[in-house]
Amino acid sequence: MLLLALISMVLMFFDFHSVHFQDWHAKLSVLAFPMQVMVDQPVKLIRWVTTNLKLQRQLLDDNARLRAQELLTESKMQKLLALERENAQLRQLLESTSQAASKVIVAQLLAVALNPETQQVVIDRGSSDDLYLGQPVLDAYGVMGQVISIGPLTSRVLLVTDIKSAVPVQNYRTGARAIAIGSGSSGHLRLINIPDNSDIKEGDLYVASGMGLRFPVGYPVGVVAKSIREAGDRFATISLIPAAHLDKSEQVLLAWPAQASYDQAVQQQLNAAMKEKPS
Amino acid sequence: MRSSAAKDYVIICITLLIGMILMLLPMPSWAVWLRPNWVLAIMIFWLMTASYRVGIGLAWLVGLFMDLLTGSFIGQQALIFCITAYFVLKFQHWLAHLPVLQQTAMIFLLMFVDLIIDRCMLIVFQHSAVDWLFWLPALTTAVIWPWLSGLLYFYQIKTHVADVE
Repeated sequence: MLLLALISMVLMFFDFHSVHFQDWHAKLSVLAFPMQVMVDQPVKLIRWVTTNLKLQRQLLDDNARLRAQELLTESKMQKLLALERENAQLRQLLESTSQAASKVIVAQLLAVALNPETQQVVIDRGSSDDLYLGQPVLDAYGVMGQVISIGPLTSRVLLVTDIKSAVPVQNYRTGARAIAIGSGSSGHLRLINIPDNSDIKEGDLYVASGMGLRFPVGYPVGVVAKSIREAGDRFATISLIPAAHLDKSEQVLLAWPAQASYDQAVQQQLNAAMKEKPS
Repeated sequence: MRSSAAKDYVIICITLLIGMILMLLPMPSWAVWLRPNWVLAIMIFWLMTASYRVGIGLAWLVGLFMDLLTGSFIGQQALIFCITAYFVLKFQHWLAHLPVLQQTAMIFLLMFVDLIIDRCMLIVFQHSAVDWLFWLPALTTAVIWPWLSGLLYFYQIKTHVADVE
């Protein structure tokens, strides 16, 4: 018993501290894959059956509503295209590169539950799809999290609500930057180190600021749900509701933000600065 | 009639597999903390009733596999499983002959100790944002114990697992 307990502790220590061991951990996770599929498939099947049992009436309603919505979206899209073109021109004038994601693939969430102490999910893409550690994971509504462990067939994603997650964000209305950290329970994030007198209202949208070169700039992260200011406290307590549908999404997007272009842009700026400066 | 070891292991593994599936099934977000530790409860049952088939080593291996399944640190569940197995084996005869209610209370105590160990490890790894909900699995595992052990006992008699005679 003592020996095995000791081995467990040593294993845990390595898993916590050693990158190589974490690599092995990720590779070994392929052993769990059959179990995960065994749970995932029937659950998905049941969901599929229940959605198919929706009444035809409801589907017709949905169809009409979606058509109307499509028209609206289409018109907005036109405006957006014009704006994008304009934006690209402006960026060219400013000599910086566009920061939109260059490549995106779709991944399925596996319908398996992990340890409730952590806010993590498993996706069905692994090292064979060239994922990298720290890769942003998005859904149609906002930032979901980042890839933290890559196995051969599956990967683990740290959701933005995990206590170990921190996302650099920016207020869409005022442009003020902040850091959103997870609260450990699904459903909300916190902004840290916000001075008591800062201009934040309930309903403000926070988007990824792109600081730290990890999450795509301008992608929604959360909406302010509550801002509490205590008289004696120097910092305000701001809680956000994540923009991404963390509980409901079944498909997620894996983005490859144009990181190389960031580096190039930085390099160019540096070179320009060096030239200007008489050495 | 003494049943063969291989057959016993197959039957024990089937129950553990069912437990693992129950551990992995997605639950609505309000219920994630209510999930009893199925695999550990099933493991305790077999440790109590078939101790010459199931030992600390097997419990440790199952714990290790649970670490892979649930995405905790490798060794976290393994440690809990082997400590639990140690205590169950130590008080095996006393535990197995307790009336159901007292047995349930003992299971609650065991699970509570497990959660304390788990909590300590989480604190060491700076990963504790959990509130009182964290202690709920001890309660739910105790609640399912009488039914689970009854069911497993029935299953054990039908399949003659670990028949000593």
